Amino acid sequence: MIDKFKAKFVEESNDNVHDLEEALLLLEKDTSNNEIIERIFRAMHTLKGGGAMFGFNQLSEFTHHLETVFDLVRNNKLSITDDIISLTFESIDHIKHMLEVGDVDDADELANQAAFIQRVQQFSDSDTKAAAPAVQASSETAVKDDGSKTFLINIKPNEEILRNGTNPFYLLDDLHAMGEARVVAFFEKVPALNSFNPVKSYCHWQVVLNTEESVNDIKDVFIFVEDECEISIEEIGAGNLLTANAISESIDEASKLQKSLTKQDLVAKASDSTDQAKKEIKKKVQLKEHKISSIRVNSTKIDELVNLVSELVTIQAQLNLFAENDGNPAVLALAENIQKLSRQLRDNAFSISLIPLQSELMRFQRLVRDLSKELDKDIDFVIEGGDIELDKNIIEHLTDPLLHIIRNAVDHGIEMPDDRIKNGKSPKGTILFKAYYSGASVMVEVMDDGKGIDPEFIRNKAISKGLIDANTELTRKEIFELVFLSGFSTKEEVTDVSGRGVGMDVVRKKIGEIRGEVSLDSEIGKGTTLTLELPMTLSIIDGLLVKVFKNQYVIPIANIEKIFALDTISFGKTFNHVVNIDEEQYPFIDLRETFETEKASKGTEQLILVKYEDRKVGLLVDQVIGEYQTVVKPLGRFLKKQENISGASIMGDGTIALVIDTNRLIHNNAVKKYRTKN
Amino acid sequence: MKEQMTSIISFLINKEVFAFDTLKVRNILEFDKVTWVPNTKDYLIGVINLHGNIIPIADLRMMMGMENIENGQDTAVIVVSDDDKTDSLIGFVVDGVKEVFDLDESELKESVINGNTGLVHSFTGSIHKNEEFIHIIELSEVVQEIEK
Repeated sequence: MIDKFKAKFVEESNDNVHDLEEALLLLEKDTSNNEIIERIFRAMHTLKGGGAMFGFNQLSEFTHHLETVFDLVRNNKLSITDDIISLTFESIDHIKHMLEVGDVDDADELANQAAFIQRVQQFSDSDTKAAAPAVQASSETAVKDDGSKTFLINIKPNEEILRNGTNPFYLLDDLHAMGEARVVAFFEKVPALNSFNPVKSYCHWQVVLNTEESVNDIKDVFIFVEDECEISIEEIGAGNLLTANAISESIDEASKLQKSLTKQDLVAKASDSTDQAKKEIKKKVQLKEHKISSIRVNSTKIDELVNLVSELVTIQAQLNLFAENDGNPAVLALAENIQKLSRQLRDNAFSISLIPLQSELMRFQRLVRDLSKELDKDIDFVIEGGDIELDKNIIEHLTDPLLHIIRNAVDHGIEMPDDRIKNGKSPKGTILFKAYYSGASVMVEVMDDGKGIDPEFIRNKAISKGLIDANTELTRKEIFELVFLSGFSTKEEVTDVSGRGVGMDVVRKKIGEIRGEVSLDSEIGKGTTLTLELPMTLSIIDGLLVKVFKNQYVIPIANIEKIFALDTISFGKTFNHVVNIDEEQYPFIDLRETFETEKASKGTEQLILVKYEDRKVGLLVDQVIGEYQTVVKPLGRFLKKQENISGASIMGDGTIALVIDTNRLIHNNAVKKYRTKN
Repeated sequence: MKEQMTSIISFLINKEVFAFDTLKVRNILEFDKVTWVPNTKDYLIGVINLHGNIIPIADLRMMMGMENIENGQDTAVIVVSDDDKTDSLIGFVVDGVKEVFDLDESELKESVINGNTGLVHSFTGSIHKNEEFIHIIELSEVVQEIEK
């Protein structure tokens, strides 16, 4: 049982750590932002408390020391320096580690941790000397909005109030208990000592109260004395106005001069501070809505849901088949309704498993920061379209390739600051990460403004490696394609950062596994752009069912441009696999040839024009059967080598149709062509 | 022998008797139509639909170098998994499944195999039973061969 809670704690703490990291990156850019410091402090505090509760005592202790440092920062006794930020980043890594392993009693680990704590303590010990006014100015006058309101309360008890046993001081105590309060007592009615009657009450009070409670709750305090008192409660404004200097000054004044506070006066004073407060209100409100609008669900549950929906779609296809054969219009209508519903359910289920890219990008931001420090480069990592959503399985598969691409950009793309200045660029390099929707795909671009790659260099390299023939004519695009061939790595010496034996061919392979495509473009002196085209979901696609020899195949509809019947196309130079359609020439691939089968029968061929990068390529098949919604199932580990087929789909009648990966199919055939020229 | 075997399933290939560890076997099916997958090794004859999962089928007879393969009434598919994952399920076509029996480890002898066994060259051991030798095939080796 406790393990379950522990797991939950670790899960939540990882969120906290994530939040911490994000806040820290923000803080680095804006070291005097109190709100961010507050956020960091809160995250640490939660970690500390939770850690102690769930038996992560070392984590708790460690975080305590870190929290102490930020407490000082929060109270303006310590200013944020690069050292603190770097140390905190390291600490975050350490916290992650501790969350993973829990409490340890390994001597090395303990010594390690003790040393770490000492480093952290250095900051908190040297605190007061290095007092920093940096954050002071803004914290003094700004009114924090924490959902509370400030009220002006008038309490005028009548003289006889003490007779029924009421002590007005208890009322004041109650008000103090509700929040922060300042009381001004008025004594002007108190008579001279000789005429003073101890059972009568002569004083009245004004209270400025800041509380999260409502007006009604305040009224409840006076519920038993309503008849004996004159009570008025007026709202002055949102936020804790007691912290505003103007307000507290007027309270002091009122107390000294025995002059009543009025609402108008206070409101006017408060309005100076409210502008600032309003901004904060907005942020607060957004945050609250966000929290309510999402729930946390175990990812295996979502996988299960998606699997079940996939099964449902398969069964629904069976039902459709049955209904069509049966011919009963009532059954047909039912089947159609179920089809409609299952499509909606499918779309819904898939949208649940989508998560924003942003969640994954955090660590890349961190990577760029750490790497650029290590290499003495100055690099800005800019993210556009971080809110674009992708299937979580795709995002999981994306980490490694992106890691490689971004490492490349930092290591090989962006030049050293000196070189950049020499070339008339700003010393600070930029890596732009851009994501956007394009049809049924999501495009991801990683752009650096570095030195770029010379196509001639790639060409020569490919020739020297024997990948292409020296006489081969290649377009610019085809040259950049060479980078993705296995056995091609442009960097001669292996550096620590990138070039650990993983080449771009591996990136392409990994992206290919999730049915994505990757391409590269570069301009010398301007920079390099890597573009990934990714599908939005993995398991269900709309496809076109075709027949090649005796087998049925599915071609993803998203890739299809047009379908032609054989008799309308005039075969031009068929020996060169180019066909003339509507005055245009298209290369084509005869699937029967590629799959090494015979032709089923003559005269029933059809040509399917599919998109491939910026070209269109024809696929020749025996017969087009029709549109089909398919659940794509993996072929398992034994058929991974088979690149033309990306999966299989079970048809309504239980037979199998293979799903063709058109991009890979065309790519493989194109590559073959270059090679055969050797 | 890495793991303890409790029982084995024996089957026929080219009139000789071979066996798999029962614990690795998931299903035994009649040999039916398979969906051929293009551009694969010859002995990978296709895929089948087993309870909604796509399972590749390898012809073990072909892998073991048998010629003149004929499918008859007894031809069967033994679906095995080397590591218990759905991803690793694979079916082997054999001439016929014989029997399941408990294994007495003391009976196990080193396999002495004359002649060609094709791509299958690793055996856990052999036993002598009912006047015939039964050779137990080391599944992980076969699986590695297919993955190559």
